[in-house]
Amino acid sequence: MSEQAYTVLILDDDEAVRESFRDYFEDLGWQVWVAPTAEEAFDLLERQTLDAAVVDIRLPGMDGNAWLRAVREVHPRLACVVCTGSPEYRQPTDITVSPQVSERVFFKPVPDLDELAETLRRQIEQLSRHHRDELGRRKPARPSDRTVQREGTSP
Amino acid sequence: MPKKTWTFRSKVLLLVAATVLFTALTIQYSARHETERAMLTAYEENASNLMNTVVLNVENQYRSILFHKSATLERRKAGLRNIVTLALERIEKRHEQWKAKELSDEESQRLALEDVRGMRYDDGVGYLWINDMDPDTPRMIMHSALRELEGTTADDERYSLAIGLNKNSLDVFVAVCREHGEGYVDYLAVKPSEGELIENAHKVSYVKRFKPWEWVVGTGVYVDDVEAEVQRRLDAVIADLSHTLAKVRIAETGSLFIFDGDKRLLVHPTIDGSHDLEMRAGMLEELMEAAKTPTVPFEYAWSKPGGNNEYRFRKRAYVTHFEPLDWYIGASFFADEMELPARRLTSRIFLLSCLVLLVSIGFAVWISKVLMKPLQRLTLAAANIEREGILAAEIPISGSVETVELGAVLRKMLSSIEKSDEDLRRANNYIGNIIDSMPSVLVGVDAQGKVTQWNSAAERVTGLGRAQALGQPINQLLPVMASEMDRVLDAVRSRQAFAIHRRVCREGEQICFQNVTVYPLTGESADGAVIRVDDVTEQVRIEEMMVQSEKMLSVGGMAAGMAHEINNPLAGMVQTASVLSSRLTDDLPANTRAAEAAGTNMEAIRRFMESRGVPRMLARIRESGTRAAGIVWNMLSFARKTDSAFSTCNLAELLDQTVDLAGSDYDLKKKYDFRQIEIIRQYEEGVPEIPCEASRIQQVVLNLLRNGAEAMQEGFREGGGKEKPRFVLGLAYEREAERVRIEVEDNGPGMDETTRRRVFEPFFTTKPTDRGTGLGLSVSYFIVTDTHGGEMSVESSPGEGSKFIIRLPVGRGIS
Repeated sequence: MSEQAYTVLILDDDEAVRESFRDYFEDLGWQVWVAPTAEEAFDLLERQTLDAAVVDIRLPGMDGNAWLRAVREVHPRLACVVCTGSPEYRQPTDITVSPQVSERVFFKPVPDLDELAETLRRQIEQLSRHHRDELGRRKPARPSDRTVQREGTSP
Repeated sequence: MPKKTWTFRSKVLLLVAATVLFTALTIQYSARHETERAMLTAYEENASNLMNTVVLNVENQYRSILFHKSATLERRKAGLRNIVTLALERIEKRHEQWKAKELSDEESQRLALEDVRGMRYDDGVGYLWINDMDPDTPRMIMHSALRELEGTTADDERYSLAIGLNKNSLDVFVAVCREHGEGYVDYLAVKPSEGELIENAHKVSYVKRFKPWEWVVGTGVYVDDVEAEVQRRLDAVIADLSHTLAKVRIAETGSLFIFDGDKRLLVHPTIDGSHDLEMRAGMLEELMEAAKTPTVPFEYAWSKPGGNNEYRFRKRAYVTHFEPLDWYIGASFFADEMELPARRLTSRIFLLSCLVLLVSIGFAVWISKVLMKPLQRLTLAAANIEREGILAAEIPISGSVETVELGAVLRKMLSSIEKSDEDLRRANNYIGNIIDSMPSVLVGVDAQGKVTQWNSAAERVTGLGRAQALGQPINQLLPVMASEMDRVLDAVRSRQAFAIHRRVCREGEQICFQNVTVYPLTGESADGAVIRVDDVTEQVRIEEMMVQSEKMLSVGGMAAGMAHEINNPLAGMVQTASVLSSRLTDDLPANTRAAEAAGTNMEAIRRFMESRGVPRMLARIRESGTRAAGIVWNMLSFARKTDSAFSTCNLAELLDQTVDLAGSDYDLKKKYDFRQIEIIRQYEEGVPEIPCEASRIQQVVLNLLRNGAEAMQEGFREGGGKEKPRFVLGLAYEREAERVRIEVEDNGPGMDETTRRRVFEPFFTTKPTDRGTGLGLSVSYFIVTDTHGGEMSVESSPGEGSKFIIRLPVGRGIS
């Protein structure tokens, strides 16, 4: 399984869940960071640039929706997928339309983790394409270094 | 025709007859009166005119006679004068001779006398005489007819003949001559006639004086014949008048008459003139008196000619006095005869009136017939209509304006009656329809509990036709009423409604519930009651279901709070089991490294695991965890959402997506190949998009497909593959109800009635307990009916497959 190694943040207040995700993604060869609260996740992102995040909604303090809205402003290049334990959850429209966040919502327990990984990958690629296009429209002559680099390493 | 009511015709006839009679009588009276007056006036005028005419005539005749008389006298007098003039010329001649002295005085006088003596005329009858003018006693000198008178003087009595104061004719002659020189003298003399002498014959003489000798020369002529002529002529006039006037009639017997002052009747048509009048004493004196006022009619009683001298008829007369002749000229007539023409006129008017009456009555009969005919036609039509109904006859529109109007009004009235009838019938039909359309059994009963009304629901439920049911006692027809007859009769008597709720009864094996309500009729018209029987079995079941749903809702409410708490540990469990499974069996680099570090390899570990059933156990952990999550998920579905995700949705696309989803459904795929199932799409054109929660509806449809697929799979297996499994997916727009209908029909084994009725009940399932929670269809039902305000039902019978029908409102707000 030749795998692009991404960096992923697991934002979940339940340790068992966090650990099961960490184990799974590390087995895929990804670099995994975890945060039990939205605030800690923010701190982490200040220090570390990451590709993706699996975001729980029900969190102590700031909830997942608020975090996603906040991240949209500060870290627009972070691809996010919601994975919540609340079956009644409906993704707010403003979040759904964001190119950053996947439309597909996962409900815990996630019976097929491969689907989640696949969704994350797709979302990362989509987001990077989106930013490339965005940049192309704004500065056609000078694409950003990072985008070029990503392109160079994609399979 | 009722008594004492006049028909139009008799009224018209009576009116016409009365009018004609009244007019006739009026005319008759006034005509008679007027005629009488007019006739009277006319005849009076006529009589007066006739009288005047006669008077005028008489006067003319009289004047003529007088003229004739005086002319004759003048002629004769002129003759006398001529003769005397001739005699005087001879005397003058002798006197000339004397003056010439040819003759002596005596001789000349003698010769003159002889000359005159010889002058005889009128065949010798006419003669001259000369007398002297002696102042004392004049003396006859010469008399050529009677010589013996010569020499006699005036004192001879033979000369006492003159008419007037001086009777002596000679004296008169002398006096006339002395005074005037000449003149005429009237006197009476003896007239010598043929063989006899007529004494006192009227004679006129002319005398003239011969002055030289103082002689009076005269000659005379008898004029008695002139008088006689006058009398003769008057007699002729009377005869003429008698003859003429006798023919004149005033009215029938009125006539003209003349009598004179000596009361001799000169002219009278019936009484001979030669006799004195045989009449009422003083009659003529009265008439004479009346003659003083010739213009005023004099009225008296008189006898009619041939009337036997009965003086009882009124007579009117105009009388005038013609003085020159002393004649009384009158015109008279009988007043009653004036009335005769009036009477004749009256009788003629009477006849004419009768004729007019006859004609008028005829005319009135005709008119009334003409008038009545349209009315009779109307009456006939109305009678027909009364007898045979509203369409039996056409109302005729004919005759005069009034009957045409009447006809039109009647027609309008009839058409409005017709319309009312129609409306009534329609209303009856409508009410009948309403009653028949009622799903409830509606039965009317009378005060004895016998059926008077039996609607189609009653027919359907009991299998008894209306005709069989009517008049039968209700307790023998409806099992539910079998023991309720007394209560029904009580209700009718007391006018108190009563109801029996949810009476349990059995239909074969099925238990069913019925509500019975008995309403006594409250109207005035009749005693009785309406019995309504409703089968509430379904309702009872739904209510039970709703109770369950309510339970589920509370479960849902609780689950919503719990779900997160349960799902997290489940996630920890399931996801960890998942990772564990891959770490124990997959060829991950980390696995390989860890195995080598432990002095073994993955192949050995895998074998160990397999032999100990670890992967199966791990799979069971994951499966059980997932199932637990599914239960929580389904329970949460009963929770009312707060943030609804309604959006407009194309159901055709949604159905197609759902079919695709079913094809890739993980759970489904493991049991059977959904792609083997034939999908027939029957989507109507123009189905509008509806507001719904697409994922929920998708969930419902997917659930149906899943259930159907399972059912068909089993049916297919059991039935030996008689038929290829297929779904028919229908989509239609129920325009009137503004609903979209989704149908999911399979050709599986179908359901029996019991299953069908309970299929939406929560926790009802036909599957083994490990294969389903029994929540799927009840959740679907809940989503459709509660969340979307729609309906969900199923049609199925064993061996015929099942058809689930979902109806969703278009554009209605969702609760």
